[in-house]
Amino acid sequence: MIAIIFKLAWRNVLGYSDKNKIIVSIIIVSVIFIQFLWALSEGFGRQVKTFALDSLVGNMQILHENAKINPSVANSFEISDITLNKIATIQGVVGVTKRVKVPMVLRSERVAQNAMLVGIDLVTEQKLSFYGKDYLPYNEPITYKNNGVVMGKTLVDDLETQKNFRVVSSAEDYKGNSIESPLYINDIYKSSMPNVEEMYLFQDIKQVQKRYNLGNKVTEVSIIFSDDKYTDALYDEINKLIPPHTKLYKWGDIMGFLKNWLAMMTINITVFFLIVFISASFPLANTLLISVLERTHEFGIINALGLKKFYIFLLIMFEAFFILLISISIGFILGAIITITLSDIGINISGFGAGLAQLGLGDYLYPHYNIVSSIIIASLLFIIGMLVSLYPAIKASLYNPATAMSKRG
Amino acid sequence: MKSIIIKNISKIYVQANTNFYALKNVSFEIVPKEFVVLSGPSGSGKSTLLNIIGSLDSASSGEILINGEDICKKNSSELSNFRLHKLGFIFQSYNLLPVLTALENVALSLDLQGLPKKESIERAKQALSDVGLANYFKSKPKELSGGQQQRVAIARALVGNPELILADEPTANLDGKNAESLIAIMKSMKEKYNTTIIASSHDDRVITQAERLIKLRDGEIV
Ligand SMILES: Nc1ncnc2c1ncn2[C@@H]1O[C@H](COP(=O)(O)OP(=O)(O)O)[C@@H](O)[C@H]1O
Ligand SMILES: [Mg+2]
Repeated sequence: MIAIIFKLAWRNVLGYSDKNKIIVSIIIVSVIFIQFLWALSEGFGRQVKTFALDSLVGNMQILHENAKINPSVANSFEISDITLNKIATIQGVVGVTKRVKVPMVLRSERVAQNAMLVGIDLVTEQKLSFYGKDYLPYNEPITYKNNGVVMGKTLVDDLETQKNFRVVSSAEDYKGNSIESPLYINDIYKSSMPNVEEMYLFQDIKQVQKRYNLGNKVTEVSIIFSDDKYTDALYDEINKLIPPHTKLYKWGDIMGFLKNWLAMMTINITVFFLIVFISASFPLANTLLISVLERTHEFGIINALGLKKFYIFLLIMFEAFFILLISISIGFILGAIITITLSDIGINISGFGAGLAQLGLGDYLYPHYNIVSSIIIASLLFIIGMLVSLYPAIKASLYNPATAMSKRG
Repeated sequence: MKSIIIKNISKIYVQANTNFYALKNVSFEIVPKEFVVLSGPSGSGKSTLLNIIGSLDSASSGEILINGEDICKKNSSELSNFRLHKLGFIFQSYNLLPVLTALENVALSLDLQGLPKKESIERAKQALSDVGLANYFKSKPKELSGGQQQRVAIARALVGNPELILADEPTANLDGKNAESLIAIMKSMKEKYNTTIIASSHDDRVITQAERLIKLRDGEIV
């Protein structure tokens, strides 16, 4: 009997292809849309987080215990190469690097501007952040004068100066003495992250340590993992290795606002998708209801011929099953193609202005296609579709045959 | 079918808070293998009565004893089985399933009865040939004329060899020629299959063929 019902359901799906095409199209579009939106929000979150981890802190940082209260070079510390090596060889650690960050005021002939000089170790920094990558092409010119720096394009523009010109920097050294020093703009970098370009200039760490009388001291050690899951897993192990008077921070502790913001985003996105799901299921429910009730007459005939009500219910559910299977599969595949294509190209969001750029997104938003999420979305839609079909299926199967047959579609 | 006894059947519709009797204490008996025609003007209760005898609708009160069993006391699942195995229906508006071919429409009842595919196809082909539609096995209902569709419906009603056929105004939507050939087919099929037929009609061509005529007016036998 099930086989007959199954076959009849399939015949009905084909037989009413004109009407079903509409339902199938609605579902295909919803599946593509929801899948894409989900990928977009995943991509968005990742981009923001990648920005944070990649360019600012890494997954973890070792800082002086007072650094969070007063981030001056006075709060610097020594760390041995042996310790760095030990950390670097822990399973899951991709890179460890030392930095010296010096807050300073830069003055050109016309303008003064706050900035941050970052002394970096080029070899280890490259593995870790875009600092190294942006710095890399200028490796040569930087060494030609001790006071040569690489400066962000926006900062150069703000200072109303240009390449090969000189600016004067004022900053405090380790002992708190004010150091005035000329810096030469050896080269200019452009960054996909505007707020970085506006703030940072780079120099080799040794020159920075020397100028500010730091000896071997550094202001931060940044550690990056192959996966953010290690941030929690490796905390205790690394914490045992750090020098006295320093503290180990997870990225979320340093960028608390970002962590909270991401958590809020996750909640917002979840709520948003609940709304999307619910609003997608209303037209679906309505269309299914109409298309089933239109055929009440027909179900009445089959009931009159002797098919039990339960099998009529089953017939309608099988029809829904076929329609959902076809449309969700097509939507799943098309959605994957569209999303994957756009995740390569990216979506230009420069039109949305500086707001998004502040979050570190740059000009392009890259959806992140995740097959597991897409499967979950497709399955959820399938389940919602089947649940939504229950109502018309029950309603149509409960009529007595005479009443059902008296209804004209 | 040994006997059909209709006892005090009433059907009440509530319309604007007043009880409306579509059928009022209708009682009669039907002898097996009889061709009975219910006649009466439109609205006299013919369809309502046929639907109740065919268990497509429930009576407000009364009994319908078929082979001694009161079908009004059976549940929906038992009634489905009863219709599947004992009854054949012919409706005024043919009521074929639009997505199935003529052959599939006729074979469906046999499929539902659980007959092997091959046998149900063979019997359906035979039944369609009997009503003169040997060349239309693969046609969908909308490709057939009204007369042809009604003949498919007759083949469907007869193919399971039911004990009782209920035909509600089978000629009402047919022109004169088609109506006559339909009556001829019904009569010869009745001879061939030895079936009891209860038809409703106000068509004289049907009424004159009746072995017994039951006249209804305003829900009562006259
Ligand atoms: N579902 C219904 N609700 C209310 N009244 C109905 C319903 N079905 C039939 N009737 C009424 O019952 C009476 C008998 O109808 P019916 O059996 O269809 O008559 P016939 O078949 O003889 O033309 C009519 O007056 C009709 O309006
Ligand atoms: Mg009628």
